[in-house]
Amino acid sequence: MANVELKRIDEEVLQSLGRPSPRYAAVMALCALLMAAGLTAYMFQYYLGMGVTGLSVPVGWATYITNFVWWIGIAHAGTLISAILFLFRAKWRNRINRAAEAMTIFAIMTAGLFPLVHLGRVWVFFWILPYPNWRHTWPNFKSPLVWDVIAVTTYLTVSTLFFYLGLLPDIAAARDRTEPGVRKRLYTFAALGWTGKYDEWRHYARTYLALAALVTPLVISVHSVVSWDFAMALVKGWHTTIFAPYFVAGAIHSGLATVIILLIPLRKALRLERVFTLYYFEQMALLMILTGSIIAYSYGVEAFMSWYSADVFERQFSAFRAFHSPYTPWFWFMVVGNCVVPLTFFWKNARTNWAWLLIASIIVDAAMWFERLVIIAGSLIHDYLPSEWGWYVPRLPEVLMTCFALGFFTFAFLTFVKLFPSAALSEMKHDALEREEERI
Amino acid sequence: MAFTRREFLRGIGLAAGGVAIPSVAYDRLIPYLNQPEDIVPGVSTWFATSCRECPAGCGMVVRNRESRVVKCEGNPLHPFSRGKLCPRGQAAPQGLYDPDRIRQPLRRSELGKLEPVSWDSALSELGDMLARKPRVAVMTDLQTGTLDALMRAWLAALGSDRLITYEPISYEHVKDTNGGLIPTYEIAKSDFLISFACDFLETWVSPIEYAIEFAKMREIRDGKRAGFVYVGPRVSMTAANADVRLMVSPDVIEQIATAFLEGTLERDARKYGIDPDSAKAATDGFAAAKRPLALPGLAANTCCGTAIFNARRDTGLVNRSRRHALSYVSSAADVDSFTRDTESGVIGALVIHNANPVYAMPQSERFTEALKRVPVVISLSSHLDETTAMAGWVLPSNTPLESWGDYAPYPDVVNLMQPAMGTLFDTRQAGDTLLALARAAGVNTKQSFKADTFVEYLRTRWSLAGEPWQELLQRGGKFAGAPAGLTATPITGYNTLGDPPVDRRAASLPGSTADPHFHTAAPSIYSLRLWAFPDSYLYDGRGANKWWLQETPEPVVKGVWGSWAEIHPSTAAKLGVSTNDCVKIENGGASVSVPVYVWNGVKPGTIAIPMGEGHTDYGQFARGVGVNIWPLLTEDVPLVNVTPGGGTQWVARIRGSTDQSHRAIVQTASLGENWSREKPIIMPLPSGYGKRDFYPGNKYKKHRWAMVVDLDRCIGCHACVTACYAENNLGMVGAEGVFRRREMSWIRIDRYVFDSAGHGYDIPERRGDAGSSLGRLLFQPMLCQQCDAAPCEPVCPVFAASHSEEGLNMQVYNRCVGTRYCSNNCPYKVRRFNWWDYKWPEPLNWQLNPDVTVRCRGVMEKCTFCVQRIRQAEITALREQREVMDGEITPACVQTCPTGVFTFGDLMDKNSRVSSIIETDPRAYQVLAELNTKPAVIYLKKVI
Repeated sequence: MANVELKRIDEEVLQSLGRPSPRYAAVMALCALLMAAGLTAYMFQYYLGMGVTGLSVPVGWATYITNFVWWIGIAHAGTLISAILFLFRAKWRNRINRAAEAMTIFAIMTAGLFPLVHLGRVWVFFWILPYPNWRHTWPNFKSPLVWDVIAVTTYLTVSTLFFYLGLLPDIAAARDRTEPGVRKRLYTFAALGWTGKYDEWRHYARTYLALAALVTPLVISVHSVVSWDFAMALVKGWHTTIFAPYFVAGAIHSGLATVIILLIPLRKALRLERVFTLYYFEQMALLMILTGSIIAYSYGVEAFMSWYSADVFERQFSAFRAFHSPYTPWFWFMVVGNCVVPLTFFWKNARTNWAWLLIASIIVDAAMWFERLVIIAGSLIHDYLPSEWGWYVPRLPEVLMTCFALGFFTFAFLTFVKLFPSAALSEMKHDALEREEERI
Repeated sequence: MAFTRREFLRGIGLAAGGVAIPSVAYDRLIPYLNQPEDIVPGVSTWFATSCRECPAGCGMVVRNRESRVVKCEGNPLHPFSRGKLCPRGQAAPQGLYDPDRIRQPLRRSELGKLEPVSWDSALSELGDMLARKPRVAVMTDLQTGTLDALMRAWLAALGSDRLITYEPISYEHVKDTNGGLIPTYEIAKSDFLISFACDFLETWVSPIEYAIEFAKMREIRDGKRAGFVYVGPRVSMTAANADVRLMVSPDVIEQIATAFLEGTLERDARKYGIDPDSAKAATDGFAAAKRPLALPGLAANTCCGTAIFNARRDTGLVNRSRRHALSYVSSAADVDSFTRDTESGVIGALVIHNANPVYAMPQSERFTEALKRVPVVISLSSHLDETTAMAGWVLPSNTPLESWGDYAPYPDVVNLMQPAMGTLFDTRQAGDTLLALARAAGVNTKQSFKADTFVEYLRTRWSLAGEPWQELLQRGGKFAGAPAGLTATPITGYNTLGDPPVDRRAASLPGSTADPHFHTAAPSIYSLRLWAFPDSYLYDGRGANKWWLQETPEPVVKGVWGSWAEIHPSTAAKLGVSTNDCVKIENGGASVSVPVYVWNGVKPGTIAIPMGEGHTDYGQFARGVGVNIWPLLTEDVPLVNVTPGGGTQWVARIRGSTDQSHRAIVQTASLGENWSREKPIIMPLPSGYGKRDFYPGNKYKKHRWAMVVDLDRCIGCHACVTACYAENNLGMVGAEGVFRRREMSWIRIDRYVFDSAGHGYDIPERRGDAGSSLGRLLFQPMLCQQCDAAPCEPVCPVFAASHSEEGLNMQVYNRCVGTRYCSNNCPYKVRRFNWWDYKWPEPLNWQLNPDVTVRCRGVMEKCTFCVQRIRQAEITALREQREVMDGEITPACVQTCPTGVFTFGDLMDKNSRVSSIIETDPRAYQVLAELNTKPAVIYLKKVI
C-alpha cells in the first residue's frame, strides 16, 4: 500500500480538481454528442410511438429494460464498497469509496431514465406513483413495477444522503484550499458551513454509521426487487426463485467491474496514481472471484431446477436457450465472461496486470449486459404458445438510447471528478493518522 | 446563495418552456341540431340487404348508426346463410368507404387524363352518341333479376342484344360436366364426401352455405361421422379439414376418381404418388359409404373426375333443379367471340359494369388491345380498377351497400337489396344511370321500361312477389317459392349472329384422358404445374383494396399483403431455392417474379400461387401489392417455366412455430373411443379456487361470461377475425407491421401440424424427400381467455388490466401507460399493443364503431368479449324489466361463425348452454390449465 503522508493528502487529491485538459474536453464533447443523438431518437419515439423500436408481441421488453437492470446493477457495487465494507471494517474501501459511491448515484440516475423511456404513454407516467388524487386511484401495489419505483427512489434518496454526508468534510477541505472565485462559492455553499469541530465530527460519525446501516439492506433488496420484475412473471426463463441472489450477485459483479473500468483511466488522467494504487484493484478483483462464483452457482441452479422440475416448458426452454436460440452465442458468452474470466484473478500476475484488469472488467460488463438481454428478450421469444414465438433485434433508437445512457453517465461522472474530490480525503487522513499513531 | 426574485422567475419560465407537453387536439361531439325522424342517437337501425362481395349471394343485415354504416352481419332469416357471413362479407363496409372510390363522373380529356365532369354534361354528350345508334354492348359482373332484366331491356331499346356476363372465375368446367349449369350438391345428406380439389369452404360457389352444410354433415352420431377425403395438389383450408388427403398432381385426378370406383386406389397408390396408408383409409371409407358424393373444383380434370364419380355412384345428392346463379355466367367461348367482335370494330359503344377483364382475364392483353378499338367505353364501376382506368367515361355507381336491387343465387332464394345509408358521393344507382342514358338517347323510358327510375322498375317487378313491399324489405327478400319473374332469366350464350353454342362435353376438354395432348409424364425440373387458386379473401382480385382482407392471414400459409409461390422441399432443392427467394415464372408471353414459400403442403412438381394480387390500379391498398398471375393462365393448370433468381423478398406472413412440442395446446379425441376428461375443468368461479391459490376468488353477483370453442367445428375460415376487425376498430399494421410481429388481431387462428406418427413439427418443412407430405393440420381460434386468475392483472402498475364484476378481464385504455408487462405475462399472448397511431384514411373512419374507443399509440388492447354488446344487451334487458336471455349476447366472432364454433353465455346461469356443455361434454379442456389461470374460454377437443 503506497501511502501518502498525512500533510500531503489534500494536495495530492485536490490537484485533480485543476483545469481540465483538452482530452477531458474531447471526452465531454463526445458524451454530449451521444446524448444529443439519444435525445433525437427519443423525440421520434415520443411523437411516433414505440413502433420505432424493434419490440413486438411477444417481445414487449428488450434493450430498454436491459439497460435499466444493468445500470441499477452497476450502482450496487458502489454501495457495497461504501456501506457494507464500512460495516465490515474492510479498510481497503476507504480510498475508493467516494468514486464508487459517485458511480452509484449517477448509475441510478441513468437507470431511472429507462422505465420512462420504455413507456408507451410516458406523458402519464406519474400514474405509477402513489399520490393522492381526486379519482381516488392508487397504483397497483401487487405489481413489481411499483415495487421498483419504491425501491429505486428509496435507493437514490438514501444513497444520495449517504454520499453527500461522506463528501461534506472533503468539500470543506476543498473550500479551504481554493482560491476565491466561483468554485470557492460553490464549495462554500455545498459545505453547509462545516468547520471540523469535535461535535460536528461526532454527529458525522454516528449519522454515517446509521446511514451505512440503512443503505446496506438496500444493496440486497433493491436488486432483488428489480429481479422480481421477472421472477414474479410466469414467463419461462424468468420465473425462478434463484433470481434474487442471482441478480444481486450479478449486480455487484458488474459494478465492481465498472469501478475498475472507471478508475484505471481516471488515475492516469487525474494523476492520482499514488492514491489509487494497485492494491485496491487487487481487492476488487478478488471480490469479483466471489461474485463470479455465486453467479456460476446461480446458472447451475437455474439449469438444474429447470430439469428437476420435469416441467415440459421449462426443460424445452433451457435446451432452447443453451442450444437452439438465436441468442445462444450470447448465452455462452455471458457464461464464460461472467464465470470463467474472473477466475483468472486467482493468479497474482493476472490481477496485478493493469491491462488484464481493464480487459477482463470490460468483458464482464459486456457479459452482464448480454445476460440481461438473454434473460429478458431471450425468454420472451420462446414463450408458452409456439404460434407466438418471435424474435428480437434492436433498432437504431434503442442503440442510440443505450449510447445516451453511456454518454450521460460518463458526462455526469466526469463532471463530478473535476468538481469534487474523487478520493475520500477525510478517510485517507484518518488512516494516515492511525498509521502515524502506530509508529509512535 | 439567495436568488433574486428576477432570477427565480426567469428560471421558472425557462423550466416551464422546457417541459412543454404537446396537447392532444380533441374533436368535438355535437348533437343533432335538426334530428332526422327515426334516428335516435345511440340506437342502431338495421337494414336487410344482400351481400354482393362474391356471387354466393348470402343475406346480410347492415347496422346503421346515426346514418352511417358501421357493420355488416348475416341475415338470420336467410335460408342458406342463416345469419352468417364470411370474411368477404364482413369486409363489405370497406368497399363502401373505400378511400379510392370514384366520387364523381369522369371523362377522359384530349390529353388522356380522366377529369371530373358533371352528370348532366356527361349524360347529354353520351346521349348524343348513343342516339346515333352504334352497336352497343354491355359487359357486367353476374347480375340476376332486376338489373339483368333492365340491362337486356336497355340493350333492346337501343337495338342490340349483346350482353356479356363476365366473371373471371366462371366455373366453366363444372357447368360443362353438368349440362350447362352448376347444381346444388347436398353434402349434408352425404356420408362420404370426396372433394376433387374443390375448396368449397373457402371461395367455391357458395362458401357459407357449404360450410354450414359441412358442419351438419360432420356431426357425430352414435360414434360415427361422415368421412371427408380431399384429392388435390395443395393443402388448402378445405383440405386441412379432411380426414384423408390424397396429394396428387392435378393431371391424375380423373384417374383417381376411376380408381376409387374400381377399387384400384390402393394398388396404384405409388403410381399416383399417394402414400399407401392414406389410400387404404380412403378406400375403406368409400367402401363403407352408402351415399358418397364428389365435388368438382375449378380445373377441368377435377370436374371430369367428379362427373365420372357422381354418374357411376348416383345417390341423388346432385340437385340439378336448384342451379346456382353462376350458371348464367357467359362461357369462355362467348367471351372469346365478344373479344373478337370488339377487335373487329363491330362494337361501337361498350358499357362496363363491375367487370375487370383487363386485370382478371387469362391472357388479358388481347382484350386490352381490343378495348382500345371501341370508340365509346363507359364504365359504371365504383372503383378505379384497371378496366375502368381505360374507359373514356366513368359514370360511377353506388356500391352495393348504397344500392337498390335484387340478387337470386338460387331459384328459390331471391335477395332484395336496399341502401343501408344515403349515397356518400356523387354517384347513382347503375339502373338509374342506364335509364338516364336511354332518356338522353331519346328513348321514352316510361314507355319502354314502364318506369323512370330504377326503384320504380324494381318495385314493379317485385309486385309479382305477392307480398307487401315493407315485409319483403324487412325480411331481405323472397325465400322459397319465388316467382320465376324475379329470378335469373336462363338465357345462355352470347348472341354472335346466330352461331350455335359449342358442345363442350367432358371428352373434348383439355386435360381429360381423351385429349391426345394430355401430359402424363412428371414435369421436368424447371417446368412446373401452376396451381392458381382464388385467394381466400381477395377471391379473383375484387377484394384487393380492402385492407381488412389484405391483413387477414390466409388460413394455411398465413400469408398477408402480397403473393407467394408454394413449392415442395424436393422441388425447392432442385431449383436451389429456399423460402423468401424469388423465382421468375413464365408462360404465354407473361412473366412474374414472386418469392417462394417452401413447405410440404403442396405436391412436388407443382407451384401454387394465389390469385387476386398484383393490381396496377384499384387503390392504395391494392396497387403494387403482390403479383398478378392471370396473364399466366393459358389453361386451367398450365405448365410454366420457373427460373430461380431475382433476389429475395420476405413472404409477408404471420410467423410462429406450428410445432406444438408436446404442450397439449390443441388436443384431440379419437372417433369411436370413449372420451373422458384427463383433467377436470378449473372453473373461473369461486368454486375453482382452493388450496393452490394464494388469493380468494372473484365473487360474482349476476353474470360470469364464458365461451366454449369447439375445435372440431373450426374450419379455419377467419370470418371471426375479420368480424372482430370490423366491430372493434382495430388498426392496420400493413406488411411492415406483420414483419415486425405487430399484427393487431384480437382473435387469431393458430395452426399446429402433426406428422403421421403424431409428432408436431414446424412448417416450412425442411425435410426434402419427395415423399414427405403434410400430416394433420389443426386450427385453433385463440382469443383472450378472460382468465379468472389472470396473470396480466396483478402486474399492471396502474390497474389498467383489472377484473370486472362480470368476470371479464378489462383493459382500461384511458389508464394504460404502456409498460407492456401485461403482454409479457400473458401466456396466451393475446394482448396487442398500439405501436403507432394507426390511421383510417377518409372515409374509412366513417366505419368506426361508435361504441368502441379508438386507441392511441402506447396503449395495450385485447379482446373484450365485445363488452359493448354485452352492455347493450344488459341495458336493453333492464329497460324491458327482464333478465338477459341465454344466447341473446353474441360477440362479433360468435355471431358470424358459419359452423357454430363458439358458444357464449353466462356461467352463473345453470341452464345456459355454456354451463351445460362445460358440465357434460367429455371433450372439454382448458389451454395451459396447469398454469392455474382459470380461463373462461373452454375448448372442446378436435375429433380425429
